[in-house]
Amino acid sequence: MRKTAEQEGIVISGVGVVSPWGLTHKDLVNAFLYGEKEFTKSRDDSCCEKVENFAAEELIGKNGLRYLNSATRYGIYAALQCLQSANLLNQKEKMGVIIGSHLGHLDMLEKMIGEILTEGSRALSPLSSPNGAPNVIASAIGSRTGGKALNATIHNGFTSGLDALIYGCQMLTDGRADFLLVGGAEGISPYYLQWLKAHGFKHVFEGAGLILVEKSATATARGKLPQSKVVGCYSRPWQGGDSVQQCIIRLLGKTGLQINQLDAVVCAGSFNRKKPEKVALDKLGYMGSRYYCRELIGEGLAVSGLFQIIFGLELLQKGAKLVLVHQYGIPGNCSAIILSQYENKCW
Amino acid sequence: MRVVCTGIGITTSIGAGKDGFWQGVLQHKCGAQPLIRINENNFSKKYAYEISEDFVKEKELGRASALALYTVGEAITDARLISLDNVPLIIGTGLCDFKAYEDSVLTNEYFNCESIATNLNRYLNNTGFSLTISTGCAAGNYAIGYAYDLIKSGQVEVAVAGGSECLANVMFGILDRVNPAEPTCCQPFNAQRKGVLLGEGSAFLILESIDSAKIRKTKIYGEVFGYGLSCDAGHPTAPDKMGLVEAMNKALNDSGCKPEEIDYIAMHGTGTVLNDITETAAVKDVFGSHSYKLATSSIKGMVGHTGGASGAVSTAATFLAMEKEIIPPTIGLTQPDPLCDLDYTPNKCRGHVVNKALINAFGFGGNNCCIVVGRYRG
Repeated sequence: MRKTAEQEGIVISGVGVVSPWGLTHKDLVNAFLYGEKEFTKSRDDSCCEKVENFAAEELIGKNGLRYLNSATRYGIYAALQCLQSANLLNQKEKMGVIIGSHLGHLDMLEKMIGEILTEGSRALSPLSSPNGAPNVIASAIGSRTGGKALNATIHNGFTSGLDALIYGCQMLTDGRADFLLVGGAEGISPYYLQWLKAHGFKHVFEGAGLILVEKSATATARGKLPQSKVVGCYSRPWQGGDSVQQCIIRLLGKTGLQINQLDAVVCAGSFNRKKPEKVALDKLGYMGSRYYCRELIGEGLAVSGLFQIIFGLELLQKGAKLVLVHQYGIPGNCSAIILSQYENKCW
Repeated sequence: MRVVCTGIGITTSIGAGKDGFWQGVLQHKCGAQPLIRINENNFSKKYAYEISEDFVKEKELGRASALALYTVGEAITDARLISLDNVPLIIGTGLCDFKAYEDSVLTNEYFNCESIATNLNRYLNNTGFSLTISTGCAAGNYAIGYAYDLIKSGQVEVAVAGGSECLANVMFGILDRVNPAEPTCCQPFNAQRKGVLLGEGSAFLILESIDSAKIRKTKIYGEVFGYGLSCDAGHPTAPDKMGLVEAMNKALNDSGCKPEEIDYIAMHGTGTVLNDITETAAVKDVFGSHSYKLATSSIKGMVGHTGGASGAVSTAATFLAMEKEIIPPTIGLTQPDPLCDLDYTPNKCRGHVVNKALINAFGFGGNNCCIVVGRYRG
């Protein structure tokens, strides 16, 4: 029987971030910890935090730039950062890309629909129109980084980013790649923003968050000290009631851990009075630190999960030994990952 | 841990359900017809392989999700599965419910663009990991491959995996700009072919560990031996022969299968000059002289290019072909392209015992996934 990801030993050895609060992981962490983002001062009352000062041409080059939408540009830059952070530059044959995105291509879709209906398909640019496909972000990152092992897009709602990591852990375990750029990328389209506002999402953001994951043995072999180890992961559909609690219980069971062995839990949070994660953690008797992403920095869909992981890495750096990251969507999945310090801390 | 297929659900433009589909194959039906749900005035292409039926839950879910629900239901019934507790639901799709989203943008009535897996969860009450993989035309095979991995590693005993695809204006537009020709049907490997024509379709498999299948004493269609992934990491739409070769070789390695053990290849065979020639050349690279001994075919002449579902549709069709000992044909192959000189089972079904088969799926963005399946020998 083949191994599971928990048995194999998967580690995180690189990070890349593009966020409305800056283009480094430190900027993101500061937003989480110190409230760099002030909710009440939304810049144009749109409730959407846009990435600003993103000089795409300088950051990712001119080649094909005009045909790439925001999420793809963010994803590419985050991927390049991630590879640099992981000291991984020449492993194209063994590297793959898995990107979670719920909305990342929709701005292109809306534009193309308008063009088709007013002028017919001839109005579409043959060079930009392939970017209307949902897998454009992962494909563009694959082209830019040269990753040939595999290329996948996860379209799974709010948990697309975490679910991309869960899928990626299995791909690594089964040897379908030695290195994986895994993450989330979103660009909030005007049409979808209307819906988000109408459904009580007070604050959303766009951006990209990527991590480099590999087997522990691979990192050791190339002399790279990882930032963290993936202890375990689990996901199940949201089915109301105690779904969050069941998800956490199952993950703890898989990993042989008890709830109060966790030093911190980084949750998705909630914009309304129903706080299923708080309820679940209270019922489980959890006494450690809790962080709620939506209440700290807002909702970023697929990107949220990765930003939560990156914040979790910071907590491990600062002394936490075990951190649980949880995200959910209603409807959607409850997805959770436990991270631990690697044997030696490093950044 | 051996992984077997114990249930099949499939619906395409040539027939609804597994039996309807296979009847369509035996009759060499072509599902192409003038556009029904897409306004032809906006496009150069006026034909598609649409499924005539409406699905009851379409208005709530989106057509691709409704089609998936229908087909998953058939597969579950076929496998006599009673419970979906801890059963993953892995779905491949290229466009998700794009059409419903397009319509909502136009009417300004909001349609929640949830993933297909999320939509199905509401009806299926499954508690296993649910995932929608949106990796272009290889998505269905990616989904089946992941389900195979989950069972092989012992994490689950049973999984539901496949793909679903329906038409959308945007994809029609993309194909119009990539190829302005006006085909009325798909003609893979034919010298006069005019390119790909989109189709609607859905196929789902119930994959199961052999231990679970034996305990349940359920029918076994065949075994999944392994699969291979690769990415061209190059052109967004044109296939790269080396990427295709890589995926096929990885599939053979993963399954422990030698090239000469393969009897049949379900070709991706889209009916474009680029794909047909590149795929043929890749098969020759991998199989050498054996490539002229094995049978191949592409069912896209009958069912069209079902996008992200195409790999799953081909895999389901291959399991049925193994069961019935009949290979589906490549219809419309009246004058083979000189550069496409393999045995594509032209125009008519052929009686043939398939022991091991390779199923190819190659998508935009250079995403490639090939699966090896075969007869189950206990």
